[in-house]
Parts: sequence; structure tokens; C-alpha cells
Amino acid sequence: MNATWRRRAQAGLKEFACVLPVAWYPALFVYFRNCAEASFAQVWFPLGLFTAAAAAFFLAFAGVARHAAAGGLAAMAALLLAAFWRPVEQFARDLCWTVRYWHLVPLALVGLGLLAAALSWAARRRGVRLERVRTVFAALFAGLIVFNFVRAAPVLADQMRDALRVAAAVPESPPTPAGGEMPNVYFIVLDEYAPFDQLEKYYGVRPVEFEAFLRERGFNVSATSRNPAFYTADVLAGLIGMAPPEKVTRFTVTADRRLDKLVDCPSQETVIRESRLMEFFKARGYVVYVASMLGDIFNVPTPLRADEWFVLPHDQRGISLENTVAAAVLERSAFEPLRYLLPVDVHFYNRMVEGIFRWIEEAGTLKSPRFLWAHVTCPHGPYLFEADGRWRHEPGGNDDPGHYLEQHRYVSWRVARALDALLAQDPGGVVLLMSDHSIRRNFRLPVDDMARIFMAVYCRGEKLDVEGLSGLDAEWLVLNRLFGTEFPVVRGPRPLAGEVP
Amino acid sequence: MSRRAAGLVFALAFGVYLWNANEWVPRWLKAPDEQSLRKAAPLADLPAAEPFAIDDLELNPGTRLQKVFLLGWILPPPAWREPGAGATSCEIVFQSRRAEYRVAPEAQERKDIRDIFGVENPAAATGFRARFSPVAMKKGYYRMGVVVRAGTNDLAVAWASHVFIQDRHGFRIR
Repeated sequence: MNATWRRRAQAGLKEFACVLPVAWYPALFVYFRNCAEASFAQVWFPLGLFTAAAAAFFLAFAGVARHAAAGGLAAMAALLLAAFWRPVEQFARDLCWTVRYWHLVPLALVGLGLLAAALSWAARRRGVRLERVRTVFAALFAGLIVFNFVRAAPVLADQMRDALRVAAAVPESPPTPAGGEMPNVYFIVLDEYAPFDQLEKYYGVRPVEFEAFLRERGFNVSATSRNPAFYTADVLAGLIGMAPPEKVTRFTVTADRRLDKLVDCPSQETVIRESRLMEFFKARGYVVYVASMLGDIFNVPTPLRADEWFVLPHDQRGISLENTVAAAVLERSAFEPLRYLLPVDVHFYNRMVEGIFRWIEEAGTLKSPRFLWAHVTCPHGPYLFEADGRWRHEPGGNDDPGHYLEQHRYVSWRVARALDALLAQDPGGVVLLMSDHSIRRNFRLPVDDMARIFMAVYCRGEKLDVEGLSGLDAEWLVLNRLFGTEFPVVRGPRPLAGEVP
Repeated sequence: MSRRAAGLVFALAFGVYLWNANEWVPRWLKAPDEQSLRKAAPLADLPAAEPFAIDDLELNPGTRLQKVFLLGWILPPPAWREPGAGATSCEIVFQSRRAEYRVAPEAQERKDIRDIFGVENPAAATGFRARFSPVAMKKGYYRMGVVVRAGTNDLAVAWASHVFIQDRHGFRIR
């Protein structure tokens, strides 16, 4: 390679290096904002995708412009447009609804090519110093990456400390309760299952058949229960940690009590890993069974301790992009159609939901005494069930509230069927059936409504006053009744723990 | 060719692509088991075909291709149910004041329907399944029908009770 080519290659690499901070910013921004939930391994795919896109854009536009710096600047513009594509596409469709993705992408590429040519002309004919402009942009985005890293540093430091911390010691075995009774206990959490009055408020309907089923089967149902949080992680931390969590998601509210800003989103992984609720039952001689969709479907680390985990048969397992950095970056970007090319199985969600309900139905065959924890992320999205249980071919979008109602209806009859079978086998068992929060509609509803929960407790057919109790207080009430513990049950609504005045 | 001429040819080709993209792109992207929508001439007056049923209808207005999934069955006219009568097929038709479109669905063997209604002609299609993108459809209100055909001749049509709307919010039931 002669000196000219070497110089050109070096200049090209230098320009490309300036494009990389712009290419990496979208994925790193999403990661640093969500590092409490996401692992760094999720960043590699979007980083790789945007790096490849940066290379393709740079080579194409530098070739069109015959000017490396012009190509670099046009590549930066292309990457920013690609990363924040959704609002641009929406704006264009608002102007002319027949315009679609396959019109806009070629138009954008042609437009950026013309931009590269124009920048090259400006550099050659007018002496514009494009190198200075590209340095400013590169420094700006590098600075933004560092800024977001610094903001996330406390969370990352906490995670490193937690990873090194020794797990909590197993509590000593307490004496067996008087009479030696050890009923099977089933704790079922239905994610985002709205209580009946909230469903009536937002949809004008009430699941009367499910209400009648609960009444006839001897469930104690609360009409006014509320949790002190409406984020799943915070609620689960309380239930599994058996105490109000030390750290919760903090937020401010508007004058009409809707979510304004998030202030802090701490990780609850340590509490989950300690699994105090599971250890409580294990210490009393229970076999602990756990089913959770958070890890497989929503990629939220859920290292619960259990003797046995629910898993789908190997040929029914799948891959989910839900709640990953890749999905968050892709779905807003111009590369969103690539999601459909990835080996992701959208109906993995359906198989998990149906599998867990079947597992609950057949729980009579499991070892006794047993504690069964099942967290079913339904009717929480993705919306892949029709009301009669048929699978949608594609997930229903969040913009149509009818999809949530369909899934709520499905869960109502499906969980009733599961409980009917379970109680037929185990009428002396105890069932705590609750939701973690109510319908949220992308967190646009009033915070007090989002914190409302569905709550129903079956305690061996006995009466139990659960009216107005939070999920944790209901758990404490049941444990006090079964095991003679003295947890301080609080009657009446607890204030929202994360609200910042 | 001079650069100016090349630019003009490119601009022309690009313009043709932009004008027809809503029709071409769904056709290029359709899966092997999916069908394409096509523009059709207005439907002539036809006798009613019955019975028929739509077993499943799924719309996805929130997605880019807004795929419609349709499952159902229809019986051919009585004369075509006898053995020895010719082959029949069916097409889904969407009709509005401004335009009409058709989709040729995949035929489905519906032994249950054949047995119940005594369709002995083995070449008479009964069940149908369609999955297609409606993005090429012009704005308007559409009714949906199922047309029974013998070759290229329309024999009868059954109109569903659904009314669809195609507008900026997507293709959905009114």
C-alpha cells in the first residue's frame, strides 16, 4: 500500500473513530438508565449493530461525497436519525398517513447522501472546516456517554458490592406450630391484574363470574386493597423480603397525582436472592416450588431460592427480547424490522403462562408440605391472548386498551379453573391470590389507582378479614394465623413509599 | 450516460417506487403461507352464498404491515355440491365506494362442514385461511365478502356483518 493510500486510510479511520461515540450513545444511554435491571451482556448486540451501521453509513456517504469528514458528519446524522426514528416516522405519518417506513427510509438515505455531497462542496469550495464540526459532535456524545456513566456509577457500584456480599444466613428452625399443622400454601401473583372496581372504572365491566367463583369457594376477597408501590420489583421485594423494602423506586407526582418524574430506580436483586419468604418455609420443613416469568420472558434477574423451579419442557422453551437493552433500542430505531429476523419466539410468553397455570392445577401431585410461589406476568403485556384463551398471532399494541381487557378476561377464567382443580385436591390448603399493582397504561394513570391491587385469600375455608390489606400485610396475617408469628399487620392503606414530596 | 441523465433516470425510478411502494413492499415481504391483496373490478350482482362463517379474524393496526388474519368457511351453491360438479374456490373481497380489492386465500379442508352439509363434490372448496397486509387499500369504509368462484367466474357472494375502516389509525373494525 503506498503512502497516499496509507494516509487516506489513516484519515478515514480517524473520521470513523469520531463517528463511534454517536453510534454507541443510544445503546449505552439505555443501559446506564436501566442498569439496575439490565446486565451489560445485553448491550453487545445493539452496540455491534450500531457499529456496523456506522461503518456502512460512513463508507457509503464518504464514497458519495469523496470527502471523509463530510461522510463522517453525514454518518453521524444518519445514526442519530436511525436511533430516534420512531418520532420522525410518526411525525411524517401525521402529515401524510399513507407515507410508511418503506417510503421514509429510502428518502432519508437519499437526503443524507445529498447532505454528504453538500458538505463536501462546502468544504472544497467554501473552505468550511468540517473537521472542527465533527470534533465538536464527537466530543459532545463522548461527554454524554461519560455523563450517563457517572450517573449510573452508584448503581453499578452497589451491584458490584452486592455480588461480593455473602448471602444472608439461613434463619434457625423455629418450633413446629401447636398441633403440628402444616397446610400447603400457594402464593399466586397475577401481574397487573386490576381489582374489580378499577376494571369497572376504566372499562365499565366487572368479571362477575370470577367474583361468584371466589365467593362460592370460600375466598376472602378485599375490595379496597392497595400496595405502597406500583412497580413490580418493589412489590415483590416486600413480599419476598417479608418486610417493606429499604430502597424503593422514588418519583414525583403532578398536581392531579399522576407520575411526573422518576428520581431513583434501585435494584431489588439482593432481596430476591436472599429469598426470605422461601427460606421461612424451608426452615419449617416445607418443599419450596417457584414459578416466575421475570427471568425468562422479561430478562429481570430473579435468583429466588427454591427446591424446584417450574421450567417448560425443552422443546417448548424459547428466546424473549422483552425488557432487554436490545429491544428498547431497536423498537425506537429505524432497525426495528430486524427484530422480526431474530430467532425470537413471541409465543414463548403464551406457553409460559399456560404452563404455569397447568402446573398450579396439578400441584396436588407435588411433595407436601409445600410452599408454591407463582408469579404470572399476565394480564401484563405482551398482549398475546384473546379473552377465550386463543393466541394472537402478533402482540396487540399498547395503544389499544382493549387488548388488556381481553387478557384480563382470559386470566379471570383461567385462574378460576386452576384454583378449582387445586382446591378439589387440596381443600385444606391456603391460597394467597393477589396482583402486584393495577392497570397502568404506560404509567399514565393516577398513582393511587395504579397502586390498587386485587386480593383474595383462601384459608382452609375459614373466614379471614383481609379487607384493605396490602399484599405484605395479607402475607403477614396468614403467616401469623398459620405459624403463630407476630408480624405487625397494618390495617388501612399504607402511604406510597416512593413518593417524593 | 451523463451524470445529469443518470440522475434523472434515478429520480424517475425512485418516484415510481415511492408511488407503488405500499403495493409492492407487502408483496415482496410476504411469507410463503401469506397472500397478497390485489385491486379488482367492481363485483357484479351475484346471488347470496350461504351458509358461511368467519371463525377467526385478527387485525393488527398498530404494526407496520398491519397483517390481517382470517379463518372461515363457505359453501358453494347447491348445484356445485354434487359429485362431478366442477372445482370451486373462493376469494375474499373488500368493497368500498372508491375501490375494491381481493385476496385469494389458502383453501382448507373442512371435513366437518362437508359432512354436516353433505358436500360430496371433492373439488368444492369449503374452508379458507388468509393472512395478508391491507396497507395498499385506499382510505374509506369497507365491507368484506366471500366470493365463491368456478375458475374465473364468480358464482355467489356472502357478505360479512363487519365494516372496516382504513385511515390514519390503521385498518380495523369500525
